[in-house]
Amino acid sequence: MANRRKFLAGIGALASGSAAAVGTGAVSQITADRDFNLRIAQDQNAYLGLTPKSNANDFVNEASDGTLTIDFTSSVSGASGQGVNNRADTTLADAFQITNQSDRKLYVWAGFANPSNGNAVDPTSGGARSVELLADGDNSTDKDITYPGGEDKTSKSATTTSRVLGQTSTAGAIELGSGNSADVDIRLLVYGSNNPRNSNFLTVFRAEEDDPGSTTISDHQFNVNI
Amino acid sequence: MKRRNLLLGLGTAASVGTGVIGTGAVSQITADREFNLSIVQDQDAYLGIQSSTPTDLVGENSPPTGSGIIQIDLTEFNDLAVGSGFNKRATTELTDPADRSGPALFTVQNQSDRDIQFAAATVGDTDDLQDIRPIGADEKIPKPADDQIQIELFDVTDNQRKAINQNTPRTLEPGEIGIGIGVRVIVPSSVETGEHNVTVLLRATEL
Repeated sequence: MANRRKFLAGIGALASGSAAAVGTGAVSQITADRDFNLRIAQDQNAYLGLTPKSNANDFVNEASDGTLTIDFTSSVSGASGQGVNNRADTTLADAFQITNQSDRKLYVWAGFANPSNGNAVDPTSGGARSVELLADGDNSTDKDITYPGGEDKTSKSATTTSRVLGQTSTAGAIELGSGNSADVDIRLLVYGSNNPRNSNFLTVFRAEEDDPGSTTISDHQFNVNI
Repeated sequence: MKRRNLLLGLGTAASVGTGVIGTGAVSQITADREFNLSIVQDQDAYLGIQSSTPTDLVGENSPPTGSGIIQIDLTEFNDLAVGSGFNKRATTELTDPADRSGPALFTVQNQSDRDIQFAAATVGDTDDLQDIRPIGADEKIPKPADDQIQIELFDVTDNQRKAINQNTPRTLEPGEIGIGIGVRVIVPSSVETGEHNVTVLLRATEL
């Protein structure tokens, strides 16, 4: 409130300042403030809906800030294991659900990012192969929605790469009509390894309309011990 | 409340001007002069701000009963949307009204007679100040803190969707058609769920 007052006092000063400058022409400066009203929701209720499935609650949860979080570490309740196996493929089926809760058709895909700088990362790099998110979408075939597909996740960033704008193919993205949802499996492909380690990174979901339109990019904590 | 503060500020400036006079024979002159000005609704102002049609997202209180000030209400994304709000830890860009009645949320147009530079900035609550150029160095507004919602405006025809802000203002020529504006909403983790009101300062300066 104090700041608001300071700000308005500033505008007052500004108005008198520019009045002095006006003499030369018509209008030298215009300042207007406009209010934007908006509502913020937790991931389950937001336009890009992300909801943990009840069977996966040991690993996938809603964090205290209301965002989806994925955790394959020793914090899993009731488990004495500390993480996922080395040289193994681990799948958590039906881990969470993506729901398009906007009014438009969206293409949704995901990338992984370094929390400190936002650069694309291969989450299990350093001996591991990959993390895949397999979504069932509107048809029954599972589709890896991580991009780029395959082992190398580092060449494209969900923050900067649009799968839709200027792209001829939306392969790797799942198409969801308004109100539709997809169940997602998490697959951790870890092979030939060095030492057990801990990785903390971000899953970056990107949802886009098909013509240059509205976009949401949201990031979520992903922790895994190997 | 706001309005009262602003008028208070102007009042002070006016009395300072009168005080300066006292050096000559006449110690004080008080005169009133009339300034004629017309206040118009946003769509007709020198800095024209208009929505293509009033929609769920962008409406205008239509005169004579309304203020004519454009309102940007992003709480009703669309009746068809099941979701109730924007994601946290997310950046959402909106380019067109929910009913797709136009290519942009609203347009900004130079309706004065000379080139202007246009820039926008979210008004925050911190003691950190930001420039909103092009202006003098002493004129600054509070920055939004890292834990506050930030709103950026961009030209919908710009593929990079670069923010129109103090670093990259947009030049508007008189007579040029209005540029379509999209809105980028940046929501950090710590923002409470629920309704928020964010003020964005729009500034047009003569080149």
